[in-house]
Amino acid sequence: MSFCLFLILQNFLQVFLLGNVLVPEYFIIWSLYVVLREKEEFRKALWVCFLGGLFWDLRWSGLVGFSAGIYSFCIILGHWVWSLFPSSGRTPVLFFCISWFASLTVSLARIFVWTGREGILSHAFLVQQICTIPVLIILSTIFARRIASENA
Amino acid sequence: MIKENERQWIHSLSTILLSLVLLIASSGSPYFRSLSEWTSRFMYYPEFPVHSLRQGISSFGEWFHSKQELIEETKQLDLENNRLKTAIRYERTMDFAQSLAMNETDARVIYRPPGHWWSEIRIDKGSDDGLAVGLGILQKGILIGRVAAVERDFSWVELITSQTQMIPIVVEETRDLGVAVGDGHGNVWVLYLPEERPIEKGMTISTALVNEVLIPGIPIGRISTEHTSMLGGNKAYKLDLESELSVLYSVSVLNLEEGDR
Repeated sequence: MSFCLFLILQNFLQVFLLGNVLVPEYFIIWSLYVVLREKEEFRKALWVCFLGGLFWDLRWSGLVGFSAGIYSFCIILGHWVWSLFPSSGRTPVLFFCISWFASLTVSLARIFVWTGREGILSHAFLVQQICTIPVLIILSTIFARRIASENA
Repeated sequence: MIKENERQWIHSLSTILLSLVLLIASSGSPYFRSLSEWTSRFMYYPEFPVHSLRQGISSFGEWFHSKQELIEETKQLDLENNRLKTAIRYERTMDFAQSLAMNETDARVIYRPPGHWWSEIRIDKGSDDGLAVGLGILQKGILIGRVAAVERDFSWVELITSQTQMIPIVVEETRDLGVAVGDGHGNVWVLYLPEERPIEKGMTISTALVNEVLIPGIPIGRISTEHTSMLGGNKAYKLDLESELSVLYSVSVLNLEEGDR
């Protein structure tokens, strides 16, 4: 359910900011948070991300399978990197880094297929990052509090 | 039995492969295009409030922008209007100057009485030539006197250096008003300028607007350094005349049309 909410939120943002702005990738960030923190079943989350990406492609990009593939790849990569670390090393900072990297990967992939001018692209990317980083910090803080309450 | 770890990898590879297959299959496919269109149609209703909000903000922005443009345009028009007014005034001034030049009547000095050398001259134009009492007499554009009496074919001119000739003047640099009066010995003095005013040597003196017959702005002379106390304690400034009254052979009579007065 929460996946759908974030996908719809991202979709509405895309409608609102339609034009020369890259919409923040809240869907993939939330998906990673759910998979890494809430220990949602990986396979389920993976297919939800795939379907979310498919929806995005049908609604916006026109390249059916593009966002689906990128989202799936980010979830797989994030989950794999996360599993490489022992429990003690799975810190909010690591979550922040993985989520940010995933968000950047999706953004760069979108920029790659975008046909905007260089100046517009850099502006769009900057706006996207300004909207993304605060959300990442909030989620990392929630992550840290959850760990602290579990350890208490 | 397949382990959980292996299942995860199988699902991962499946999603990636499926994405690639879809990406390849969808390129140029009309089926996927219509699917996209259907998705857009389906999402129209949930997205409607956001669309409306976006349009509202956009309309407000455009309205605000158009207001700004309107203000800028008004400023620009004001500026252009002022320029046009200035151009029109300039054109009128030039026309007026031209009409003055056309209204000048050249006259020859036919008599200068030795007993009243600095007071009067007689010229060879009279009422037949349209001359009237009070008209200005110029020498190369410089005021030297006014018509004092008119006969049919000649006129008497009272020179600016005459003791009884009083001409309202203005100091061009300070806009102070005064009166130019002659002393009957070839000199002209400017009276009634307040003592505290910064009147300096070289300032230009010309006819003032307060005169009924003479037009304003006809040059007379420049302030000289000399001054003496006359008429109730007011300083009297001596003028260096721009005209040459000792070389007076011909003059111009400034014939004003009724509308010019």
